[in-house]
Amino acid sequence: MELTLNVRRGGTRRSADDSHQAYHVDVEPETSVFEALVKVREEQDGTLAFRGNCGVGFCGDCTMLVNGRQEVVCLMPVGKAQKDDEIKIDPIPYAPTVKDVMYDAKRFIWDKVNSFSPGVVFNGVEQVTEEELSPVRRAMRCTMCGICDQGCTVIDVNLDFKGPAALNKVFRYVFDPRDGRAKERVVEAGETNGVWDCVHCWEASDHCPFDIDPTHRIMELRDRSVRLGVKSGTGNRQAARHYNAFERSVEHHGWLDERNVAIQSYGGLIRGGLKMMPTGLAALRRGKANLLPHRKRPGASAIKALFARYREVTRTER
Amino acid sequence: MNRFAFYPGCVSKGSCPELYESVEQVMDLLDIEVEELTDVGCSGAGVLTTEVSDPINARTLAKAEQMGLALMTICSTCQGVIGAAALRLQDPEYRAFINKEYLAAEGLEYKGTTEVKHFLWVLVEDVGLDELKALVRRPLEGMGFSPFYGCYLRRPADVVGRRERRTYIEKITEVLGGTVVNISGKGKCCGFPSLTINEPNALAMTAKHTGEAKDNGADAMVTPCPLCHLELDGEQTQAAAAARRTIEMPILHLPQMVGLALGLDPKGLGLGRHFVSTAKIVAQLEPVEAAVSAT
Amino acid sequence: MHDVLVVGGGIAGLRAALAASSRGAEVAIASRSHPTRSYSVAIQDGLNAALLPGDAWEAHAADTSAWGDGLCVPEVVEAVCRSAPELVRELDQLGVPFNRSGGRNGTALACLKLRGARTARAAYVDDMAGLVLTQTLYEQAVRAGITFYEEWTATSLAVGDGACTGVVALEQATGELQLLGAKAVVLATGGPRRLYEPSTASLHCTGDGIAMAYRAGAPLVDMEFVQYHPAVLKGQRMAITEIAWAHGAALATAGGTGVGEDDPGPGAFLRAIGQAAVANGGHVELSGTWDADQAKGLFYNTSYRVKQLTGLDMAKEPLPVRPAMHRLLGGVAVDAGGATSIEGLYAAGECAGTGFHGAAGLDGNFLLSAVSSGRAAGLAAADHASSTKEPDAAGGALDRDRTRVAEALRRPGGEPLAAMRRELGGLMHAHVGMVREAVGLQEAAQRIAEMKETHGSLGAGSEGRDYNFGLAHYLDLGSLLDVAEAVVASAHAREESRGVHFRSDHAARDDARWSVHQLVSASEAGPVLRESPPGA
Ligand SMILES: Cc1cc2nc3c(=O)[nH]c(=O)nc-3n(C[C@H](O)[C@H](O)[C@H](O)COP(=O)(O)OP(=O)(O)OC[C@H]3O[C@@H](n4cnc5c(N)ncnc54)[C@H](O)[C@@H]3O)c2cc1C
Ligand code: SF4
Repeated sequence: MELTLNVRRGGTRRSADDSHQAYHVDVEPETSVFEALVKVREEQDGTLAFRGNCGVGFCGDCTMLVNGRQEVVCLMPVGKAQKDDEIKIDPIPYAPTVKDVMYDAKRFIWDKVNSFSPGVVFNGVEQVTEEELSPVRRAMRCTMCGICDQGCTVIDVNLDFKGPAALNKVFRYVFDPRDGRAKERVVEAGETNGVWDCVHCWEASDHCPFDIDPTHRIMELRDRSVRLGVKSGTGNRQAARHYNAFERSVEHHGWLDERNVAIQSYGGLIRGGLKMMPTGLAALRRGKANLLPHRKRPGASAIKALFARYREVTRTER
Repeated sequence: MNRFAFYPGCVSKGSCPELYESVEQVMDLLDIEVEELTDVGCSGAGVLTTEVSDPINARTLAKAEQMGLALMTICSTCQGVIGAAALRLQDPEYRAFINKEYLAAEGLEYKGTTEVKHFLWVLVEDVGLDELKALVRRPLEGMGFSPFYGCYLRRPADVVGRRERRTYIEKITEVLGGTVVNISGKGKCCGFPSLTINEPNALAMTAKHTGEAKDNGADAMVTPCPLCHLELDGEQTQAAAAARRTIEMPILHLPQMVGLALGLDPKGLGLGRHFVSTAKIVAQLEPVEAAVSAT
Repeated sequence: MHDVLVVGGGIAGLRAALAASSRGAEVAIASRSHPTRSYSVAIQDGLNAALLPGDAWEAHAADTSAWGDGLCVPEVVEAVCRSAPELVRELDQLGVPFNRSGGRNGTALACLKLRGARTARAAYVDDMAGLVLTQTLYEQAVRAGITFYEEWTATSLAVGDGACTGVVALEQATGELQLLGAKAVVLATGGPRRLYEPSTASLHCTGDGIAMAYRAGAPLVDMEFVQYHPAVLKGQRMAITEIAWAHGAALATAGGTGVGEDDPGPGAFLRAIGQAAVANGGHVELSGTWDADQAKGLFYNTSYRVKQLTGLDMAKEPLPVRPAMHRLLGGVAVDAGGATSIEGLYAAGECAGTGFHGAAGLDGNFLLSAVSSGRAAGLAAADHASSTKEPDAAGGALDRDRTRVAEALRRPGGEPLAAMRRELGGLMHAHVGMVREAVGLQEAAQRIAEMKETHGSLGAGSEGRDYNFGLAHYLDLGSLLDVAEAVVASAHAREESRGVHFRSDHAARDDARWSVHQLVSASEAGPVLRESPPGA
């Protein structure tokens, strides 16, 4: 089919009216967008910059926006991607751009991945079961294509957030029974911009092409972290305060007292109270909430018993 | 008549009483009958480890099951967290573990049959858009609403179920006579989960979504999630300041928007209780048709 | 100046770097792409090792030699097969989550029975051994503090006084050439798949390391042995995993006639499929007896990608496949420790001719060979580095390449280069593919010589320096033509049929005359061949 590829050209500076260059190619509908771009680069314009190597969806290096959607372009046939025989190609927007449609993978992915202690540190455990290893294997389907990071609502507002791809990598270590550093790793992952800054919006799971379900992996990492007695990194007490306040509220009252939790998360009555004061007063004035703490609910004692049981169950399993 | 076991969640009984009050009035008009579960616990909101929130939610599900009713929520987060627990509890082995270790002590057992439904889904799937349309007394004509779902009503796909559920707010808005003002962030995170952990992130998200609604010309945003409301409404002023702009975008709870169209009194729906003033919306409302208000 | 510089960041390169580092050497890796973007990631199947009770390394060695059709180097086969179980356990402890057998609570390493093996012998990681090994080795390389030159393309070896003192490399982001000096260099740049069309080639499979060594005077070995993959998706470059065969895949023509069922040797098997494909409109059909759940469990990674690429569901529909060039079995001639004929220069992985595969490679032995040759070369290079004084960096190569590149930047490129590569691919497939004969080989040799001439008059097509892919295409084609010349000359000389080398004009194996390896070296007058007995 005769196809027009409108490819963003230019350097690091992005703008709403980035210029696009039109290339015409004749390819089969089953040809991938990647192969079509390679053909353009080889035959028409050797200055066109994009990454990608394997062509079969394993190297994870060819992530781009195809008609506004992020794709691993070697797995996207042109016949499926085109609209009226045209395909618009842009670099992914959350990452800094290097040239044309090439993004800064070092900044966007590798510096974050490698900021967590890399490599399994063998702890001598040789007898590991299929049940223990299969979740690790699922996490290791990751090609570092960065599509989850590209969908991440936190990275959208803060490029320094480690993001699902890097946190999924931590999962791979922490859940590998042959690694001896789980506790250190969850502490590392618990620092600012780490696992507790995830807002569990499930975008990552929605985006990952390889069914790794990265949001779930992050939540499991948090669960494991709590199990290991770690509720945030050493430089990030805020997350632990929030967790503990939340837990206390539900444990003792059966339900959540948002204002009290907020106050305690901000560091207790004095600091938290001051911080909450403007909002609190405004709320009072509007009759939005009463000043008194929530009353206990009728089921509170049953909930408390569940907590007690949970502590027993997890202790014996630990 | 539709009957449900009702799980109002913590926030509608705490910081967002207007949600609880408005949904009660709207349910009356829509002939939805509920039995409120009062002795159950907080879902854990995705904050608590599932190791303790699953038992709590299994208990809630078991109580609804005993009543023979589906569970209705009015909070995206409650819906998502209890829904996900219900899905995990479909695994017989895991369910047996939770029953044995946790519920048995109270003489409860969860059999895995409870359906969990958000009020938004009930409106479309149980009440029906035609029925809803027939009850409109004050079409929201000339008013633009930006939908804002709350993550858990969009994702994960297996917990949310039917894909159409991702467009229900738009459908309802149209049936009520309003105009949908789309925003790209309608399915994204409001920022609330990060509010006490990484506040700048949270405020940036809030400013982004409310700002987009404003830029696209919406009169208000509407959300089925009280946590999104707390964030988008309660934190909007700080968020706008951090983003160095003015926004002033009113945020309505879903039942408030429905209630307005059904002819209910804005004050009674709690519109005066928001942080961001809803006065402009209220001023735009047509008087309820005399004939109807007489009945 | 590094102790050890590894060129290439695939499985062989990463394993070599880790080995060298474990000996205390200071190590750097220069690679064309980020290491985890190397083609090694695409390997779906596993690696052979006599792990199961009842199996023995001797049996593994015997199967390897039988498949290799009389041309495996016995000492290498013994060394590799003996060490294979340990290599797998080492990888496991570095963090590769190999599949276990015996259900959810099973702990023993699981093995698959691949074609040519008498028993189940391939350790595997679902259907993504390559991805997981590459990622795991990369994790460990970062942990070991290895220096990375990412997106640097080596263009020449720096050789002074008969010893290798580093490589000249092009930093893609700036277009600048630099000399990366080292006491020892390990080439691990992968194979030259892009010589052929169709093939399973990735963009970077241009045989750069083989060409660099050849140009620097190191002999290449076993270059006539080019192995096809039996089942590559029609119109694509994706190979269907051997795991499918281990789970009962079969090939048939449209009429339902089975293909290659009587399990002949590798060459005959591949040729049978090739012929059936030609007769059947370009492809045969691959199908199996697995259901949807099995397909998702056994080969999720393959079936997902097949679905994306073709829209076909492996669990329900047959896949159109045909053979495509997969693997050059030869490469830079090395000894058992990975040393080439140039002092301080080592080679490992797909660019090395170790003699392990002989005339045909067994499935599961390639990955094994990448790991074992990588480790061996890394250790030997580290030892060499520790006993070598810092050499004078030889600047000649750098100056030569700077001039070469500056000139190329001014010459036209683009379509003429692309056309030449397309022609080369077709030429190699037609005349130097699964079936060869003298006339076609002579024609290919002639055409390749002409192309080399023309290539010299072409260039990058534009003068920009940052990420100039036109320059890369020009350099790539240069490598491919050098490798092509060596392959054709070797295939032409070997007037017999053996393993995957089939001469229709010399259809029989001729042990009396051809129980030898051929070494090929570059000269002004073209490739020069020499013979050496197996094991020498
Ligand atoms: C699709 C596929 C399936 C396979 N299946 C199996 C199997 O099932 N079982 C089996 O045993 N074997 C299999 N193999 C073969 C085997 O595993 C490979 O031979 C092996 O992984 C090669 O590793 P390598 O490190 O030598 O090469 P590669 O992984 O190709 O790495 C080459 C490296 O060199 C770099 N490079 C190249 N040129 C330059 C340059 N000029 N300068 C700097 N760097 C350069 C590249 O960037 C890359 O980092 C398969 C191979 C493929 C492609
Ligand atoms: S988790 Fe999925 S989406 Fe994210 S980088 Fe890995 S493969 Fe890509």
